[in-house]
Amino acid sequence: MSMTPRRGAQGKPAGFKTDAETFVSNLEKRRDELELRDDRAHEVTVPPETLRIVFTV
Amino acid sequence: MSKPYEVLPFNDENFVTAVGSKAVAEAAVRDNSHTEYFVGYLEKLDCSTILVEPQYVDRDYLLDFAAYYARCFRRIPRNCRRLHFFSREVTQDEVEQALVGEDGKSFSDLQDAYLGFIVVKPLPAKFYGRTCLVSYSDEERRHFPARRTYDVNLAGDRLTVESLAFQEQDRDIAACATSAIWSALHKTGHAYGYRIPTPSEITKLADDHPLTDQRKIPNNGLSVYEIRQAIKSLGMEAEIYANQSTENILAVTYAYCAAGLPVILGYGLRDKRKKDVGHHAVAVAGYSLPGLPGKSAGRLSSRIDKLYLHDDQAGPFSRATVVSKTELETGFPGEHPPINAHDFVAIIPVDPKIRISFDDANEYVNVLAHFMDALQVDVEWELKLQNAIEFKRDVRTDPAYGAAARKVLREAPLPKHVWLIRAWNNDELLFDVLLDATSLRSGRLICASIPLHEDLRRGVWDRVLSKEAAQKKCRDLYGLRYASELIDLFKQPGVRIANDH
Repeated sequence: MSMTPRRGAQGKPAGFKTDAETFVSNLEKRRDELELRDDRAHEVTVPPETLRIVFTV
Repeated sequence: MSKPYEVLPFNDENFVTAVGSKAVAEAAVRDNSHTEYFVGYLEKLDCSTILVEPQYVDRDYLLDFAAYYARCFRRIPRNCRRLHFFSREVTQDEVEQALVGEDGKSFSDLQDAYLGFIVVKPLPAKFYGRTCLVSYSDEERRHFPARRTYDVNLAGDRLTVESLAFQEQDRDIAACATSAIWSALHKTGHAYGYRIPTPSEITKLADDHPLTDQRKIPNNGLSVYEIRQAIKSLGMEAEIYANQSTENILAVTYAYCAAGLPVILGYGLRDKRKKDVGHHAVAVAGYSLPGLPGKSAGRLSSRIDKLYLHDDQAGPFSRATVVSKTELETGFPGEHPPINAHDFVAIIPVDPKIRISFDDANEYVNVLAHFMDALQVDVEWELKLQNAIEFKRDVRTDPAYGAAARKVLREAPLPKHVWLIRAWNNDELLFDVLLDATSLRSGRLICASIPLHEDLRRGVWDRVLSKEAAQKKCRDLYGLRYASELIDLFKQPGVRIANDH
């Protein structure tokens, strides 16, 4: 489970100034930060040892 | 306690007297750790009066009695007593007048001061049964979406209480996990129209799992497998997420709990000496989320500072405070407090029609966040499951939506369950995206795109996404499906509804 990176970008929505070149450059710089799951792969999110934990107290 | 309905001023001694009976010794009441919790909790609710209903037939206890307690050699009574609590003084005369209907009076007249009830089971040590007390006062930061309305019949008169049922484990038919499932199903089963099983029924359903290696009654606990088995046996599905990070587990918890679905939360317990003291399960009934949305970049759920737990070792709406990136400080009683929770497992009973999981919806948020980061716009992201009926109801009064958006969305055919992604910036909604939670995982998930900040939408389209280079980069990075949906979100003003249903 990956969560949103906390980057703290600078911009405000009103007066939006970013242009296409900057956007493309930013995407390229942050390419490695994106993790997309493969829809065809079976993802194991809960290991079997976790499923065997017994809640006893 | 000879009178059928007796009132007592609320204080700790009278609470013990009211709980005590032939079957429940007052010494046992004082010895039960929940007694102190309930007295403290009711004091915070400004409780003034206890009304004792000495003979009460409780469905859950009666079925458990028939299934288990009736066959004990020692005689165990079949009837409970029920205590009602009020935030104003109620006199014995008022009770008598309500009973005979004098001058049209009834117990319903006490609704404004009603704080709820505790059923006391006639068991020797673990006697706090079905308990429905109001939550702490609603403030801006406190949210209790897992509550529902309980009808209370008092001598034929109707009272109501907004709560989520709680009861303590008895270690015979229920340990912590059974109690947590029971509390969660009180809301989920009610919402989906499933019958709500009793604790003994839940424990028996869990016993059907092939990996169960010990007898389950008397009960020493349930595994995650067995919890899942009990939920599936009732016709629901169980979503399961394991994580060490409080941030991640809060995101999952918020996504379902904000939709009114209690999360069964399991975790390891560690005391002040860093000694492990076992694994425990609770039901999450609410959370504290200070501040308004959009104040920081990241996840809205990351600002949750407390969870309110139905912890059968502590009490209802028991606080668990986020104290580090991997631990919550709980109200679990122990010799070396505080007892901290770590290594979390969230289990959520859901309608089988909800096929798109939190992880699937979360990936959309991650793509959107990556995209908005590249556009250099601060966004705080909210992700939650929602019933489409409730979404349409909310749309009617949500100030972020204009008349045109309201009309389109309220007229639109929407799937029964949707994932709502909200992009916030400084109290403003930039856009909403609805994902079809009943869809195929490999199919198109977006069922509605709702741009809500026209200056931003136009700016993003005119300056960035209308350029082929930007579109091509999106396709290269995100793939065709995500890229086309991102581009569509900004391409034109107004709500876009997917018409392929």
